Amino acid sequence: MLVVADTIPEILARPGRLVGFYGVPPREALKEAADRHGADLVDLDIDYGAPVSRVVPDAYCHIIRNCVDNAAALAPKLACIVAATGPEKCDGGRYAARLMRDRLEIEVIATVNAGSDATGPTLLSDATGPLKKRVVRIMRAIVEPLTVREEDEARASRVEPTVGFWGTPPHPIGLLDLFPDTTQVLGWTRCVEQGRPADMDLETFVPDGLPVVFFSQGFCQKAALARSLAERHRGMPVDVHDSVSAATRAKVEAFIRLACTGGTP
Amino acid sequence: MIFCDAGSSWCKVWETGEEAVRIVPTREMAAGSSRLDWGTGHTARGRSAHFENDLISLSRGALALVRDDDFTVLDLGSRDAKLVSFAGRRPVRLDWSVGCAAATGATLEMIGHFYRVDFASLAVGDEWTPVTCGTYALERIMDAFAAGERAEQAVARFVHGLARNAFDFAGRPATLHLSGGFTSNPAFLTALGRYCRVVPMGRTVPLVGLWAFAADEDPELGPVPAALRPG
Repeated sequence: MLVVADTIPEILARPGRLVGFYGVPPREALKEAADRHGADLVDLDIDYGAPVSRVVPDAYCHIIRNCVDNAAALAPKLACIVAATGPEKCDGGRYAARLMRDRLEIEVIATVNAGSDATGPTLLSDATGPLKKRVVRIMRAIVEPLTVREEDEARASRVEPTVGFWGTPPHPIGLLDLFPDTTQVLGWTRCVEQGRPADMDLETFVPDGLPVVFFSQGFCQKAALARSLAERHRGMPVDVHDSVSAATRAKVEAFIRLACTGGTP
Repeated sequence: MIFCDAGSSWCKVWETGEEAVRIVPTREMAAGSSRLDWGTGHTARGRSAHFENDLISLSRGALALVRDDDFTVLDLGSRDAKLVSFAGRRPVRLDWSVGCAAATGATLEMIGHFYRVDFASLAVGDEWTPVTCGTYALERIMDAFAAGERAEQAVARFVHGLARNAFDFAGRPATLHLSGGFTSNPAFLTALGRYCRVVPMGRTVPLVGLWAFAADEDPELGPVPAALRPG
């Protein structure tokens, strides 16, 4: 079972030990670790407001910082960590696995997720509804797949998208609140829903004519893809480090407004 | 009806019927409790009956003032740089740089006072200091001054570097429509003019945008008043 919580104290107050994970490890690796320890799973990518552990520099990808700071804060409770260390994550994920093992003295199971041969459907990516809720559910589906009812609802809500969000789930996740319900999910998050997190062809897929915000986390190598794709598709690149500045907010708001009015300010 | 572009350092305020736009320090505006009918800019959001995003008011104002189909407008103020490029009179590139234009205008204003530099007569030469943000640039000027360089020379290199950075940020257009406080800095205009044709538009472009939105709601407001048009 996946732990759903907002804060570190909330997670620490739960009975029993936990298996931490980050990125998109193969589902069987997560299940094997959880079964072995009789533990629930906790996603370390999420911002639970963990104190800064200083294991990684401040000027560093905030997603990786979340993984490491969460692991440090939850260390007494973690039976082990299932780490994504392959091309489906990044070098940051690979280095974090080593740092967690060496600095936090937690058992780390390094995994690589090459993706399944069959490409899964994009139900939530193409559905209508609050973007943050859909992205969060896509990431939870790493552990808990959509129910039949959720799948049916997603299919039924499908409409023509008005704008696209390309990239990983951002930190802070509140960036997604700026987008309309008719936002199509693209990039890595879409790859995750399709079960192919390392598929760069899928990651660089952008529908013709759709206005897209190309997001990259500050200090993430995906910025190169985001910038290049934005140039090719006349989209807008946006990067965020630890907070959404007034300028970033205004840029995204203006882009979405212009996208929805066909370019008329 | 009060229109206000509330920037980080300066507010541009115009009330219908007034002959000219007033430039008021933001600290004074922020301290007051005045309500705005139409507002844009960093500090206007919470006290405007109608608020427009800075990039939207800049876009709308530029479209009201420029007849070209394809053009680029750059608003360079005290804190940051905002950019809109149009193709066929539709925005195709929006950008707002805080990090890479951080406080350049405020820094220039400060060093102008500090070193008593007259930007109207400052000679900008071939040399430039790479400028990515105000803080780094300030450090370089101080280093140069400490090493015995004349303040005017160091500041001129800074102004030139700023112009290069602005030109790069704008995507190196052949013609650049310039909005914001830098339009009243002759040294900067000269420096930027080395790289492209510069069309200074003054500090009222976002106010013109607000006027255009107000006129959508009340067509009797008529065309853009002379007080808001670039001099």
